[in-house]
Amino acid sequence: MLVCDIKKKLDGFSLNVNITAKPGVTALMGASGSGKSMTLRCIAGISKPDSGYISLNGVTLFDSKNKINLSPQARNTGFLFQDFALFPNMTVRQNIMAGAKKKPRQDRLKVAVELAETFHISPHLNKYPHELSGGEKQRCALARIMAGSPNILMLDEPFAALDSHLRWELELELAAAFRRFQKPVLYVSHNRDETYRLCGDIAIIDRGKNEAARDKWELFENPATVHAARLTGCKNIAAAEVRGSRIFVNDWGIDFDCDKASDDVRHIGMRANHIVPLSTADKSDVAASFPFEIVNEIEDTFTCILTVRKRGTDLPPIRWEMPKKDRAALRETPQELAFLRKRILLLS
Amino acid sequence: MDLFPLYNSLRISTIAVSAAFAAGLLAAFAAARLPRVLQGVCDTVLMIPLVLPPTVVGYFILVWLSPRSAVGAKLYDWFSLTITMRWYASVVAVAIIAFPFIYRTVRGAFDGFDRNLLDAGRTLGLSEWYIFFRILLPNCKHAILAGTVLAFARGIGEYGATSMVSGYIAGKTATVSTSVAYYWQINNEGAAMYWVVINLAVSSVFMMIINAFNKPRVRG
Repeated sequence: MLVCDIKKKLDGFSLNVNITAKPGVTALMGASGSGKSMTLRCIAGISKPDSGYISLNGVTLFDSKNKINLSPQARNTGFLFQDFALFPNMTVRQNIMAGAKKKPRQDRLKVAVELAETFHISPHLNKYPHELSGGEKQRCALARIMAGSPNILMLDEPFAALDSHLRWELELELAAAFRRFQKPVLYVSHNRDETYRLCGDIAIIDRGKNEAARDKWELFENPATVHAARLTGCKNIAAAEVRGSRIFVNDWGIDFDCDKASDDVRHIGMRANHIVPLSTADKSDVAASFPFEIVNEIEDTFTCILTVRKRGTDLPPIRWEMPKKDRAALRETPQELAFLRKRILLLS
Repeated sequence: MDLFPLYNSLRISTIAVSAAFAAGLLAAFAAARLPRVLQGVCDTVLMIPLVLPPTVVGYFILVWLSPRSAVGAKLYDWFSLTITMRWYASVVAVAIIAFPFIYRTVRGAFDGFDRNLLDAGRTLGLSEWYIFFRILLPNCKHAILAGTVLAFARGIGEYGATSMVSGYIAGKTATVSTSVAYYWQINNEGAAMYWVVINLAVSSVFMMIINAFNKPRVRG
């Protein structure tokens, strides 16, 4: 179990992170430059927070009040760097052996061979990092970390340096490695889909400050903040005003019927794929409906993306996304669009 | 022709550059960990011998190490050791003059080094010694060797400080560079030319070695 509650002054903003991670995969999701990597660096001990407290499995790693600051060497954390940070002057075998620290040479060799097998890099044991592909580098870096049996695994955007066609297989392997690990994993990413597939709990971080980690289903169902909504992929977010049981969204020229809205709701979100034609919706589910006109149409790989707005207005467009086959059906009848009650995201 | 000056030059350079090598590595490593402002001060002070006329370095050595100076007198009293006008006075001079060449190149290599590799080593539990000798140094190998060879070549050709602190004593303190000047002054143009050619040959060899180090490589 990791407990981390730290503050650190950075260029332009302050890092103020309070996060706990149980065994299992916890994601720290935020835009680039939001302080995700710095948080990991502070936990690993290669950057020093200005104040706060970090403990791992009951061992205090950092405590500014009691002047405790364990060296990175003494923390036993596993840190997967974005560029993998393999030692260029060492072969794959030597790199993995370097991770096995104080064990006798014979044992380190055995560990290296076993881990190379686990991570499918046995044929490359005698190669140097510059001779490896991106995926092989990542496997080697993971094997090197695992050789030291760390108490926590931290990954900093593990797929950022890889071509997209390599990612899928590696993602499956990474998921398998996480299952074997059975200790806390802290996963840093800005990629919504990757995070959703790999992680259990997700903590959103914005300009150095994080929200509490939440179960991923709950987070995607009810992001609660504008930032969380945006990071979980909500494309339509607009300022909203609550008046009684109705919400007015001037940007869209629409008002909603919504009785559960509290007064601190300031924004409203609607996922692009949750907008439906009025004719397909059950009347009792509809929170708002409006006649629309198409501003623009973009064909994506598997979907059609329409930007639409209330007919006869000059308002900012709303993004509407649907599978290609549904687009074909839509051409026949001019319709009204509906926002369903249960799909509306109320955001503070 | 007596080849003692060549032997003496190589001997002086080898010892002096070895000392400058160790000091340069340590200083560069220490400087890399200092805050930016102190780094600037450190660079300025340690790089001064590069731009100072060698005679100024020679002057300071004479002032501090001659038997009439404070330190020199103590060395003589305690160890019966005279430094000036001996071949080893040149070792001191060459070490000081060669130092910035090593310091600068190594410092540049450390500065350009991927800090993630050092941090990765630390999170893997590797000791600072291991990180320095097994990760940092091997990956800066080319820059360090190039700087060392340059320092060595500079040491072989050192004249100003060497002639001040060791003079020219045939078979005792003569070096390849002081020999050229000596033979020219006594109008022995043949011998002067002989040592000029040796100087040219030695310099060419060093330049070839330096170029070999600077070849672009796939790895490193």
